[in-house]
Amino acid sequence: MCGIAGILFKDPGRTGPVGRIQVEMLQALHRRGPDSTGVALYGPPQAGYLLRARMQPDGDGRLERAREAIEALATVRELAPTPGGVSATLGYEGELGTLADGVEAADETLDVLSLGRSMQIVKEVGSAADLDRAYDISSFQGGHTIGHTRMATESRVDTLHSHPFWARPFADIALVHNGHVTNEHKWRRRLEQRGHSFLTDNDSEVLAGYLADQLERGEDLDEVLERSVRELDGSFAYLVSTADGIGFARDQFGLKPLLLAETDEYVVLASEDVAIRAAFPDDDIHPRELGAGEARSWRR
Amino acid sequence: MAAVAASQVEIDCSGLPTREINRGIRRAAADGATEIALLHPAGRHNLCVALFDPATVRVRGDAGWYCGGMIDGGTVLIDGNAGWGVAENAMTGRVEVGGNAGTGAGATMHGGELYVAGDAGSRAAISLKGGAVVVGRSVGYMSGFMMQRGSLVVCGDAGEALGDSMYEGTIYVAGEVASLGADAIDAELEPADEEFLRSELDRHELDRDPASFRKVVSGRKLWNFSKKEFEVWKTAL
Repeated sequence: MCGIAGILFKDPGRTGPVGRIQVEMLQALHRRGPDSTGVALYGPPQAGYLLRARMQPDGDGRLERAREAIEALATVRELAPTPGGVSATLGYEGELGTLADGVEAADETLDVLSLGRSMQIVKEVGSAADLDRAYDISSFQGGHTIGHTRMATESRVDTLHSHPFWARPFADIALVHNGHVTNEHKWRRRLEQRGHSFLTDNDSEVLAGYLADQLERGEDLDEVLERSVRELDGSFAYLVSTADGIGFARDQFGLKPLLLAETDEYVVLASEDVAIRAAFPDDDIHPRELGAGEARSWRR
Repeated sequence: MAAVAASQVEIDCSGLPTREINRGIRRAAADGATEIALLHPAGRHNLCVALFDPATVRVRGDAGWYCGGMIDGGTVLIDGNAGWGVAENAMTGRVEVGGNAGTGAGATMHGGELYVAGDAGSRAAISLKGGAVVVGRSVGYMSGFMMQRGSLVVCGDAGEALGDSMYEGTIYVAGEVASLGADAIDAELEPADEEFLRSELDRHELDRDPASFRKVVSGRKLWNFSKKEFEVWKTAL
């Protein structure tokens, strides 16, 4: 059992308090996943790449070591410590996979959590309230976000195994998942044969790669989501986010809950109504449960 | 807890543990309150479970999962939406949902009535053992799965595999049926069916012609295993 939630403001010219909304929704879903919490936050696109990395705490000088590791491959415009690692803005022209792999190879204490022009992934062990205290998620203004509270059932409880998963190495694509994809080994092998690499043994990371691989080949997001319902086995309700949109898919048996509420202004998705009501207590909205096998996306 | 009149009680759910809310409902009902209002329910789970007294509880907003579960004699009126398993395992009494309901609405109900004004999710009336589940709009995938008695009335459309592996009971659908489940078959609408439908539709002020409903019952081929009907079993399993 895990909790997933997403919010998107439809007007591409508008940013809103997506950080606060997401924290309120994830905190309301806390009992669905007390192990760890994470968010993928989307702000206005930047000229450079936004990097978020986890760094193992092993004494002084870690910021300088991170700078050295990154500067070997990219121009560091800004670099700042975070409670669990570093965030940076980079000038870079090459393949993102090369950058991520190169940074990690240059300093083994670094793990790249996300790379994109508008997306930042923040995730840690603990609750949404813990994450907000450490990273001030609530103050983030943006266009859309997806988030996750995790109850680990099949892999380790730590930052790397927390959601969202960056669809490495594709910029600005992330995924949160509630469920268990039982044919993930098949897709992991296929994607690895095509040159993908994964940081964890978590099935949700494979699902992120599976989606991004098709999007990168120019396929339409709605078609990719619909196909995933047929090609993936197991129980799943997942949200995927791109630079300008979010989408969802639910398995053919409807085994994992997912609700949708939509107005002219915004789209909100969550595992339970309690999350939607925590963030929008007074709005005249009528969340409905999405159908088994249903999939759809929205763009700003 | 605030007493509005001797027979009316309001409970503000804000900040109260669910156990305290349900204890408050039972205390008020035992003290003779006939109308109990829950304010600020905020979609929380397990509200109004095991309500055994003949009181009416009005949930002023959305309820979470299992609202009105196991009730035996009470009435629960939900102004907003309800989550998974609303009125699950109800014995007698009545639960009404003003908005939509999630998966498993009326699951394993033994008696009484569940009315959902909006849509119900997947597996509505799953394993229904008695009573009536009436849905104002549509029901999702595999509704009426393994139902054993009672009635499911759907005024809108029904999703795939309707009535899959049902043992007994009756399903009525006014709209489109995406597909029937294993061993669910059509049956002739009889005068008694129309009479039952008319009374349910009138009670909930639903503008439908009872004669327009499709009736679905069990084909009873799955009651006993038969090698001669292997094809039926292959589909069911």
